[in-house]
Amino acid sequence: MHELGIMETVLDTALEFAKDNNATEIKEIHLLTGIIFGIHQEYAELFFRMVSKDTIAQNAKIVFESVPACFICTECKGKTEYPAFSEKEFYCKHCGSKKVTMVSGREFRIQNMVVV
Amino acid sequence: MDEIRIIEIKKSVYENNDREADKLRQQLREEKTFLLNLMSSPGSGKTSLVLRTIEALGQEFKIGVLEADIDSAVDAQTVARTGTQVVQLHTGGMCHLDAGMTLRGLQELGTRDLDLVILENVGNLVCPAEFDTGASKSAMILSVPEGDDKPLKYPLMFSEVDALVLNKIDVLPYFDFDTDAVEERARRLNPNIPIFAVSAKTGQHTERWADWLRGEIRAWNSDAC
Repeated sequence: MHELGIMETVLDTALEFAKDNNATEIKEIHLLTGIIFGIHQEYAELFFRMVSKDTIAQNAKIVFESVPACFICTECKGKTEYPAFSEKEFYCKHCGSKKVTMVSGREFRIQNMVVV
Repeated sequence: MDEIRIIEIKKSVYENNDREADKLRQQLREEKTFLLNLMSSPGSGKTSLVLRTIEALGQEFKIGVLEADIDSAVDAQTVARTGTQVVQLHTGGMCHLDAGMTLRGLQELGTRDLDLVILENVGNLVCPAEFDTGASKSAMILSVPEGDDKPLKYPLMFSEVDALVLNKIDVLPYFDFDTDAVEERARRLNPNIPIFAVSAKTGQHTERWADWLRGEIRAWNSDAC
């Protein structure tokens, strides 16, 4: 359900940047989402269609790019990337330690957009 | 025909909310009001823990409560019976509270004379973790019947909070709930998190939770000087 609020923010931001850049139509919006960030892409698209109706973004294609989760091991300082979310426990792939700190994977950014 | 262009945005979807949350936190610091954001699944015992907290700290601190739910006022009515100031917020279908909604609730409650406001967030382990409400500290409850695998399934919530309360320990004998496993899984996401195993129903060990909260409130107020 949080996809609704988030996609409203995406729309508002996109419209604001479009206005500042004198764009007449938004063709594509590129979003960067960390794999730990729980967003359901189909719902997000559906909500975007709802909120963007009758705006210059109504036909915009939403492109998701996922960012892997990155952990630093507190013991060997090694870096481990997890490209997809799973329920498996996160651990350091270098030394096997389970004491790892997440440094990325939670972000949700509006990266750029294609306009005319 | 107009030319196709790429406009760089590189903006977090949380930027506006984070800004409002920081502003609210600053205002609360100046007013010496501590805001606790309490999160959990529905039915884990948020309202029961709120009642125990009022019982433990109500003499020392002036307490207010914000109850957030999609609908109904049952939690607010329960809390109001203790004589505590309470405001019921309806999110109207939204699964979480953001800083703007929290601010409106606080304005209705009036925070100037309050030392502690407990925000009982919408029952949900996913969405509330993603939005900064402007709280001084956040805590979550995991109750025994929910199972010890929850830190694996909802890692964001467990990594965002400042304290974890394991509630309903009075029913531990009836469930396959491994307290040590939960603590280990939670600490992997959040290495220094304080964990309090309590029963809000019987009152067992709830003083440990209250002691932690008292310390946090005092630290918040002394930082404001």
